[in-house]
Amino acid sequence: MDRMTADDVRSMMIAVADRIIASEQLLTKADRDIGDGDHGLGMTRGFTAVRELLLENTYDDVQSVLAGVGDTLITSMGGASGVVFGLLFRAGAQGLLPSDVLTVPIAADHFERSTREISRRGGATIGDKTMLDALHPAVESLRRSSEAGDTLAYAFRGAAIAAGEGTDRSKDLVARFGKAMTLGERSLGFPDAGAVSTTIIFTAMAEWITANNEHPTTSAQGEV
Amino acid sequence: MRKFINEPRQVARETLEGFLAVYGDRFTQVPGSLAVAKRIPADKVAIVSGGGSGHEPVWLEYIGPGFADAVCQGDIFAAPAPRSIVRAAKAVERGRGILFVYGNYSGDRLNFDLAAEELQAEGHEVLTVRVADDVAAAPPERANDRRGIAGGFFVSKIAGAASEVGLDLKSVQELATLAADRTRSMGVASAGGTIPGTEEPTFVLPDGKMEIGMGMHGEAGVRRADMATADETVDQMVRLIMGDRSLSPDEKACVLVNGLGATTRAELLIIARRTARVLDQAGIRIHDLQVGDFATSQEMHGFSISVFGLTPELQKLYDAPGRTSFFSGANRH
Repeated sequence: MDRMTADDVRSMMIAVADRIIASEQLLTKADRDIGDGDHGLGMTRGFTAVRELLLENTYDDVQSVLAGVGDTLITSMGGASGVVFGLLFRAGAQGLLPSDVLTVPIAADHFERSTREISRRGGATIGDKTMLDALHPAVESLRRSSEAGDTLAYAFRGAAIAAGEGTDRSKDLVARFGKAMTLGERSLGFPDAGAVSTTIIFTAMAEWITANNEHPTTSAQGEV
Repeated sequence: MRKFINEPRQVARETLEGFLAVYGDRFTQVPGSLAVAKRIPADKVAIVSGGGSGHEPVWLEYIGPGFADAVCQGDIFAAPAPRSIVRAAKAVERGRGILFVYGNYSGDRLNFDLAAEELQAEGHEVLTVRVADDVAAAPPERANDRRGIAGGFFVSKIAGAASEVGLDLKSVQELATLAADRTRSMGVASAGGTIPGTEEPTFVLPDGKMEIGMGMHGEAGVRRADMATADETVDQMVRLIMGDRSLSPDEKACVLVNGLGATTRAELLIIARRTARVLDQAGIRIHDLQVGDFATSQEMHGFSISVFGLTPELQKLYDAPGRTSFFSGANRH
């Protein structure tokens, strides 16, 4: 599969929402280790609202799906995570012309723009022990896949793996941003909770694309 | 669980409902958000504050004559979303512009900045003052990384008073920024608070230990030390605060001894007694001394001390009328 319709993207994002909601306990624990423990709650609230939005709407272009997801996260979550994960889907869509399909190059462009905007607004950079430590390698992997002409399934699997590796590396980083910042050395040994969420998102996207590879235009299994 | 609450996820909403049950004659909920606005906003610069809930009276109760015109709550310890902030601001904007006053946390910055951009796109004037008074959070050369804690009270007082006397947006922002620049705080805690719905406190200290410089969400401080007496602890904290920004001989100070949630009134008065004494001995003239729970962190056992150095203009604004649910005016005149 080298292209997905707007409806495919909608179905994929419902699968992402389901996966985040199912990961609430894991995210709560990851955040409690070096934060205040509210990340799981916030992400669940945001993606529950995303799920409702997507089940109630149909879309003609990919950017409307992604911007809708982003707006919903920003509005429903609050906190730093609401804006950061909202921008992950909204910021990339804002600068791009509406397209009726998602391809690897469009995905790479989207997440590259999102990453820049998250970094610009939040003020964090790679190595600060934030979600950027997972997102940045994932986007680099997407870019490489775009240049190599990889399929969507291959490109997103590569991005998910890169995000996971980035998350693992974040264990060895001392937090230089957010509420974990003042923990200093005490933040060592734990991954950043936002990086964990980022990996879950890319993994769920990769798995949906892989599972629906043969019937790229049919809706997601298990959608209600 | 020992908290007298209902459904943990409803704590922020029910806290706001309780506030309105008591003060509903003067304030009203902004529809579609956890925000409260004055019923009859005056024709002046609109002061809008907000942040995560769970720190009551911050920010919910920082509203009143001479204080904020609208306050916007997020969930427990989480910044409010941009749409809530926009609604709160529009409820009190009267064509003189909007000043955001909030604590310097990444979540608050991200959400208030998006709200400011949305309001500006609609033609409103918006300026911002961030409170970053916690000297324990970062060294002076990285003062922009510092968190906002109880010293935000002084910034709110000055912003509210400057707006009340009819100054324009830019002037109100400048005076509130000056107040923020001249305020330093530090906290200490011997036990952490627990977020409703979670089982563990945000941090656990071994028996007999205290954390000097503890943040409002349980963020680590400058050092962990053996529990000491009130006097010894105050002496250490005042030294750290004054070491960060010393007061000139002709500079008077307002001082706030703040309880973090579970500290008794008696403890706070004992702490205030010593704080006043050591500052007196250092030759500092205390213009006003406030004691109470002005910014809390659930049932955290601890306190913070804030010192605000006055200029003649700031003193006039501090002494101007101002009232909230927890503050009725200066104690010393």
